[in-house]
Amino acid sequence: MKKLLIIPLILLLTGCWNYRELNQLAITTGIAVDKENENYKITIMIANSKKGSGSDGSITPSAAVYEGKGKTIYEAFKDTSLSVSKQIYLSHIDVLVLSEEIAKNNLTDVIDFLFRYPQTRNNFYLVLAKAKKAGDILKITTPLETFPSQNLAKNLEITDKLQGFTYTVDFTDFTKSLVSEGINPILPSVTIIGNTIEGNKDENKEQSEPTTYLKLDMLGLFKGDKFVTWASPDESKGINIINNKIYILGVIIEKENKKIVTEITEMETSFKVENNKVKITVDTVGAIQEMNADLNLYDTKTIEKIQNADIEKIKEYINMAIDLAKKNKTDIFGFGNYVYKNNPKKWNEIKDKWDDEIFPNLEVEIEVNLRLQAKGSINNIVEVKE
Amino acid sequence: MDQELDKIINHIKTINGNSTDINVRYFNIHNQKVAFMFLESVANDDKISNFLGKSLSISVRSKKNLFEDLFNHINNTIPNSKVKIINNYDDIFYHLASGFTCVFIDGYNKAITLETKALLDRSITEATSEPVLKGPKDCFIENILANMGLIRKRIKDPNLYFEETKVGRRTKTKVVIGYIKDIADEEKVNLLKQKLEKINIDGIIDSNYIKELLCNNQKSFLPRVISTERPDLVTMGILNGKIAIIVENTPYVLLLPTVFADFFKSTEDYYTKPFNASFTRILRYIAFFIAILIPAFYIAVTTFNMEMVPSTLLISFSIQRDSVPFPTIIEVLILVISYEILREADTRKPQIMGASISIVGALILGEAAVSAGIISPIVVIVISISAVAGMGFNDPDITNAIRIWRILFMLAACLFGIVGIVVLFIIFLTKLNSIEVLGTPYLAPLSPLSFKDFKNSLTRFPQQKIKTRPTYFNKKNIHRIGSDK
Repeated sequence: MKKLLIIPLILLLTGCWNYRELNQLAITTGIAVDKENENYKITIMIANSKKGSGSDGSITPSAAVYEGKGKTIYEAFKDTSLSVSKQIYLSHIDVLVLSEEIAKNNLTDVIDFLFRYPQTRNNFYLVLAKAKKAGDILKITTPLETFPSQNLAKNLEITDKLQGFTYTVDFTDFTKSLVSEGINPILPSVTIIGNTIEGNKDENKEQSEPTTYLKLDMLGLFKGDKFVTWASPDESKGINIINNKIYILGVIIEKENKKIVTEITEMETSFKVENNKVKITVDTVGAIQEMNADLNLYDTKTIEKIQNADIEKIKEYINMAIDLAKKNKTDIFGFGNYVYKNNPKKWNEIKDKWDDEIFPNLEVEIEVNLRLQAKGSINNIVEVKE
Repeated sequence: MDQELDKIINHIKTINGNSTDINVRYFNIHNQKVAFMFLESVANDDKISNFLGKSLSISVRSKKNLFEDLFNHINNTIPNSKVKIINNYDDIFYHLASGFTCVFIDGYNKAITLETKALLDRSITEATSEPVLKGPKDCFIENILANMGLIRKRIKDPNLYFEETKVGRRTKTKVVIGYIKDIADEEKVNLLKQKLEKINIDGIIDSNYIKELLCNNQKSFLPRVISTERPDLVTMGILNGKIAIIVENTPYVLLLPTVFADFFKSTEDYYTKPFNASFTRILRYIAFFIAILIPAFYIAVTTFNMEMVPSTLLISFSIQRDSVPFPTIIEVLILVISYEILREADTRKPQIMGASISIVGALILGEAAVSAGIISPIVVIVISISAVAGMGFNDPDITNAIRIWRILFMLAACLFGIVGIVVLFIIFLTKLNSIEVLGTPYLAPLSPLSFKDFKNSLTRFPQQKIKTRPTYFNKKNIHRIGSDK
C-alpha cells in the first residue's frame, strides 16, 4: 500500500517538462532573413492561423506573416514574438529564404543560430531571394498550395526532379559543403514575378491567372560562406551534371536552324583528380523528345549524328560550368574534396594553394557516353499533306 | 446412521429445517415399514412412479434379507439408473439434493439410492458469445455431464481422463478436470489438483470463481486462463496438452495453462485457409497494440514530440484543437470515459434498448461534442480507431486489460511523452514476461524463444506442416503428425 502512495506523489513532483499544448504554438513553416541597415529583419510564416474559415464552419489553415528586427538573430526572433500571441515553434520549417545581402556578408550568423537552436530540424531547404527582399518571398500567395512556404519547398523539390538546372539544397547539405574541405556550397534562388503588394492579397490566389507568383531562378555560387556570383541556366546544367544531380535534363541541339531536343533520363557522373588534372566521365541515356528537322530516324547514321551533337552539347555545358567556377576561384564541385578523401597527406600540402592557384589551372578531360534509347512514339517528323 | 426408520426420517427433516420440497412416502412390504424420500424440486415424478411401481411389485422370499432382496430387485428391473447403497447422513443429503430418491427400511442403518433426476438444464444450443462463421455450432451448457459428453464424443481415446473433486463447503460443486493422460504434463496436473484442493470457499457459482481463485496474483490485468463455451476449442486445447476444468452449472469451461498468444487465436483460424488465418492473426496483434497505444501516441505527439508529425498533419491537428478549452489529456479522457460508459450501458441493457443507446452515443460522442467545441474531430477519430481495434477480441478479460493499459499508457504519455510510452511499454513487457501459468511462461514461444512453435502461434501454417504440439505445454508425445514415440 505504501508503494502505491508513491504514484500520486510522483505526479505532483513532475513539472511536465517540455509539455506544450498544440494550440499554444505558432507553427512556423518558413523563415526569411533580410538585412536592414545594421539590423537583421526576420520574417516568419505561421501556418496554423485560423483566418480562412469555410462556409460550413470548417476551418482551413492559412498563413500569417510576422516580422521582427534586431541586432542579432536572437533579438530579431524575440522582437517577432512580441507581436505573436503564441509560442513560435521552429521544428517544422520548410524553407529558409536568405537575401543576397545576407548571403554576401552575414550567412554564418544565421547558420549558427539555426544549427545551435535545438528545435530546428535539418531537413529544410535553403533558397536565395534573387533581386528581391527575402521577406517578400514568404508573402506571395498561391492558388496551388495552402502556404507560400510549402509552395516554395514543393516547387524546389519537383523542379529538381523534372529539370536539370535547379538544385535543392537542404540545411544538412549546405552546412556539410560549408565545413568540408575542398568544396564550396551552391544555393538555388527564387524571384518574384509581378507586383509584390498585389501578391500579398488573398485575391491573388483566387484568380485563375495569379498576377504575382514565385519563379525559381539561377543557382548562386559561394566561396566559403560568401556569395560570389550567379550561374546562367546552361552553366547551372553543367554544375548539376558534374555534381551528379541530374534526374532529367533537356539537351537542345540546332541543325540548320531546326531544333532537336533530347531528354536525358539517366545520368551517372564520376570524376577523378590526379596530378592537377581532372577526368570527368558521364554515362547517360536519352530519348528524343521534340524534333522539327526532317531527319530519317530509321537511319543509324542520323541517330549517330544526333548522338554526337548531344555529346558535344553536354561537354559544352560542363566546360561552361568549370570556366565559371575557375573564373570565380570557387571549387563548387568538390574536386579538392576528392583529393582530401583520397590523399589527405597531399591535400595538407596543397590546400592553401588550392583555391587560388591549383583549381583555376586544373586541366579538364571530359568523356561522355550517350545512348539514344528511344525516338518517342513516332519515328519521323510529322508530315503535313500538301 | 440410525436403525429406526422414524429416527432417520426425522433427522433428515431436521437438518434441512423441514423444507417444503421434502417428500416422504411410506409403504409396507411384508409388514416391514419402508420409506421413500426425495426432494420434489429436483426429482422427476415419472421416474419416481416407475421406481415405486417396480419396487413394490417385489416378491420377497424371507423377511430377513429384505434390504438385499430389494437392492437386487431394483438393480435387475430398473437397468438404466444409478443404484447405490449409502450409510451416512451427509451422503444422503447430497444425493437427495442431486435428485436421487432414497429408500429406507426399518431396522437397517443404510439406504438404497436411485437416480430420479429432473431435467433442469436447457438443451445444447448455438454458441452465442463466441460465434464462428463456419464450424461446429454447439456449445457447453449448465449440465456437467453434458459438457463432459461434448468433449468425450470428440476424443474417443481411453487416455482422456476426467477426474472429479467437489469444491465449495456449501454448494459442493462438482469440478472435473479433463486431460489426456499421455499428453498432458503430469506435474501440471498434480499442481492443478493441489491448487483445487486448497480452495476453501462456501460456494462456487461459476467457473470464473475457480479462475479467480487459481490465479490470485492479477497485477498485469491480463487474463491467464481461457474460459470458453466452445467444445471444439477445449478439444483442441486438450489435444495440445492443456487441462480443462469443467465446473457444474457453468456453460464455460476453463483451459489452462494459457499463453499470451492463445488470446489471439480463434477456432475459426483452423476452419479457414492457413494464409487467411495467419493474416487475421497478425491483424489481431496489430489491433491489440493499436487499441492500447494509439490514444497515448496521439497525446505524446501533440503535447511533447511534435517534431515527429509531418508539417501538414501537425498544422491540421493544431487548427482543429484551436477552439478546445481543455488540455489534450482531459479532452481524450472525456471521450474515453464516455465511450466506456456507453459500452457498459450497452452490455447491461436488454437488446431492445440497444438502438436508443447507440443513437445517443453516436450523436453525443460524434457530432454534437465536436460542433460544441468540447473535443476536436481528430480525437474522436483516434478514440474510435482505438475502440474498434479493441472490439476484435470477444474475451471480456482481454477487453478489460486493453482498457486499463490504454488509460495507463495515456497517463504516461501526458506526463513524459514518447519516453513515458516507451518506459511503460518496457514495464508492460516485463510484466508479461514474469507471468507463469502452471509453470508455462506466458510469452511462449516468444520468450523463451522457440522457432518451431511459431508455426502455430503468430501465424498458422498448413496442418501438415504443424508436425508437433506446442512444446511449452508438455515435453512428451509431442508429435501431432506421425506416430507418438
